[in-house]
Amino acid sequence: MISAPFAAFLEAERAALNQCVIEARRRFPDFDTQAFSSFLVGAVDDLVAAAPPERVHAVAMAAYELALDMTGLKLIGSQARAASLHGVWHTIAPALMPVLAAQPGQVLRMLSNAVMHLESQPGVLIDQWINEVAALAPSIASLDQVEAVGEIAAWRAGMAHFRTGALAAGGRLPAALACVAVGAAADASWDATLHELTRDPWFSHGAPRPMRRSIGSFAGFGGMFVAPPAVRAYDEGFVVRSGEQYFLLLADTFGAVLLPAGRDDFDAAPQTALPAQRWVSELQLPAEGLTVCGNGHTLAITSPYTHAIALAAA
Amino acid sequence: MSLFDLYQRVSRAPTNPKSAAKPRQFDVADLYKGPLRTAEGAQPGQAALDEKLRQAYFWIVNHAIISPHYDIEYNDGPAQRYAVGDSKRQLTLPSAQSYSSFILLPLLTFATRSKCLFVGGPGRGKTASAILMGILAGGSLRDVKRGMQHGHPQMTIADLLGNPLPSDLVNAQSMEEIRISWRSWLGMRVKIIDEYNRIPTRTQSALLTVMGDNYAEVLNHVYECPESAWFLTANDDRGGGTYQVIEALRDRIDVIVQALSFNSRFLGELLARIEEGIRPEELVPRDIIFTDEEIDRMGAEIRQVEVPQEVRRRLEFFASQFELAESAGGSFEYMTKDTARLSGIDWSEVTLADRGRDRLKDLGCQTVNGLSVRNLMTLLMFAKALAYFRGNAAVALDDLRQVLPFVLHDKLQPDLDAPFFGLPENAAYRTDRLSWLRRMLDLSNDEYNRLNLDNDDPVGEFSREFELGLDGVNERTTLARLSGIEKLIAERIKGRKLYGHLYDDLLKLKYLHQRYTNYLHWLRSQ
Repeated sequence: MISAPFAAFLEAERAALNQCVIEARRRFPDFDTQAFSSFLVGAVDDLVAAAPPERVHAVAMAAYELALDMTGLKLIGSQARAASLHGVWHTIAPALMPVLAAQPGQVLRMLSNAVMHLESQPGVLIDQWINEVAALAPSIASLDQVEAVGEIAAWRAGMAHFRTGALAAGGRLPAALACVAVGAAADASWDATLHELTRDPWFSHGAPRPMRRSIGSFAGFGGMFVAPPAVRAYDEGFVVRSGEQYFLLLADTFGAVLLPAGRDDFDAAPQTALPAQRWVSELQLPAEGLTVCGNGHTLAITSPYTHAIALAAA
Repeated sequence: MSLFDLYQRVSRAPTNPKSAAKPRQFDVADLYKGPLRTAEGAQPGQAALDEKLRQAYFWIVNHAIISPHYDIEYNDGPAQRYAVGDSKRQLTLPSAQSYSSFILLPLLTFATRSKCLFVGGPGRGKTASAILMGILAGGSLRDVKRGMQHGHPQMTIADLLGNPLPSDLVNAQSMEEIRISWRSWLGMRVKIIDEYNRIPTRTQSALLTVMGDNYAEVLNHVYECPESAWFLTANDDRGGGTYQVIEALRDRIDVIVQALSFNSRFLGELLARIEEGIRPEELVPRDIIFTDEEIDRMGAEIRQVEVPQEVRRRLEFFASQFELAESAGGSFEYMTKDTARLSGIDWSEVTLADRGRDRLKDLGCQTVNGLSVRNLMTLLMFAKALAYFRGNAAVALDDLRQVLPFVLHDKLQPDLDAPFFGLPENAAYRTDRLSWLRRMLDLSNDEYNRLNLDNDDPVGEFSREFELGLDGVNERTTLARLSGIEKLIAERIKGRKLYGHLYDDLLKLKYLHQRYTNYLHWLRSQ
């Protein structure tokens, strides 16, 4: 059974909505009508039921159009390429209703794209992103604030390369919301918090610092590296070479990411070596070939005996 | 976002991608980029105009006009070719992005605000194409349709341009007091004349004034029209209309595009449109609609596209082939086809008197006329527009090769009695003018290469020397250059037949000789 508001919408727009499905089937020859129907019942209906009466039509129309797109692109259904979309539709969207009701298409598309973007990056904590955005949703008053909160939450979920942009996004939020979004107390000073976060990528608001994390593993086991990596440091992160592949490595207290880079980047980075003896026992690796390099805030430790890179606060 | 958004999609991927440096900055806003289009956040008009033009092309090709004829072929490597049928005509699978002339040429006309004639049988999409161009210029479907002029045998000048107000006709004491109710289409940026060859001759003359001089005149009142693109249609441009089209009107048309036949393999597409009630002209995406300012800017950007010297020289060489008619003139400057035409003499008499040249090899023998300045200007403009459309800053020889047949389609008239057309392998060129014109350019380029004119062009050297200016050139140098010109003329005419390109070279040398002679007189008078 579907809710009364959604049923009324479907009845009122029946001809136009059917036309949309015909066009979608023409555009996407293997359009999965069953998956589309299931999504309408399982996700769109709940959202429409939660919409304020005066915005039911707009929310339903936007959700219906988006459902068509997502079905055609195989983002939902039995062959779904995006596993975390349900989190957006079931957890975030209802919590965001006042903002979503004003611009339903834009909000739903933005958040759906965001969760798919996070899925594309290994190691990102997608559930954490969904829960943080949903938790902050009642405090969000505009589309711009949705964007900013989503960006900060993405950084905190492990997208280390978004760090600078996320801190800038905090400036677009009310101070209390910005502080909570980055993990500080609501009554903390945003300026002071921003200062600490900018100064130290491993700053953790007084909580124990995650002193070490690891990234990368053998490509044969689903990792990124075909050979034990070599690492060179630059101001903001590291450049990694593994076989003939090159990566940028960025890390902070919330996570680490590997991004595509070129040989020029690797050649341009200075080759430095720091004392490695301390890490032999900590990492339980042979001393032979153990290499440590670092920038102002992070150390990267590599060994010919592992395909992983250990990272630690400097 | 509309319900019909699926049908209104415009390619978001670059339509003709070029390699670009990867940004090293990480944009947190990338978080929200993904397969789902956030339409409200899109910034229309920010795309480069050439990209927007290509998006318009691909939307029309993919969604609006079913024209699977990729006759504007480009290759960036070896292309797969097949000899087909008894005639061994070549079917080519191009190795680079190629285009359908029926869509592309009207778009280039739109971008350059030129004039395009669609020819072809009824029901082949000529009018639909023209309407789409009107919509791309920002007109509503209703306004574009209402603004379209339908040629018919009773069409008067008043029907075309407008009427004097009846009350003024009665009360006015002078012509100035008569107000004119001008037709609204005169102010439109895209003007469409359907079946222009059904318009009576007198009304055609009024149309000529609007097309040629961009104003309309009724009872001594003048309406200045804005710069606009023109699209005309004709079911049969070879005399099948109700009235013969006056030559001056035909000459104002910049390109002629032929609507090719419908490929029956695409009947399913037609069926789907019928069943789903889809009318593409009602679904043109907003992203591909141009503002007046954008069209102006696009025109300015197109004019900035460079025509490299090596391309320009090949066009010069091609154009030089056609005007010479040695037997038509008693003095050197008048040995032209234009002289023969103006005299009213029968063309066969001119060709009979033309002896000594290899009439099979000489390209000039294939035509009964030469190229006008207007033709060459149009050719250059469309070559620039095609290069711009392809995202290039300079015209390539291929660009020229592709637009030339459409520009010269109605301008270079073939002499079907010429020996070239008598050869069995050239029989198809008697009916297929586009292929004939392209073939002529290829033959001209072959000859250009054979003469090694890229590396050995003494007339060009003299021209470049002269273009440096005469300031500071002394008498001795002037005399040396005069002597050089005379020597070159003697050398060029020695034991050679007169061909079109040699004729133009000799006239250019005479021009240079005259300029130096005048300069010498001036020097000596100081």
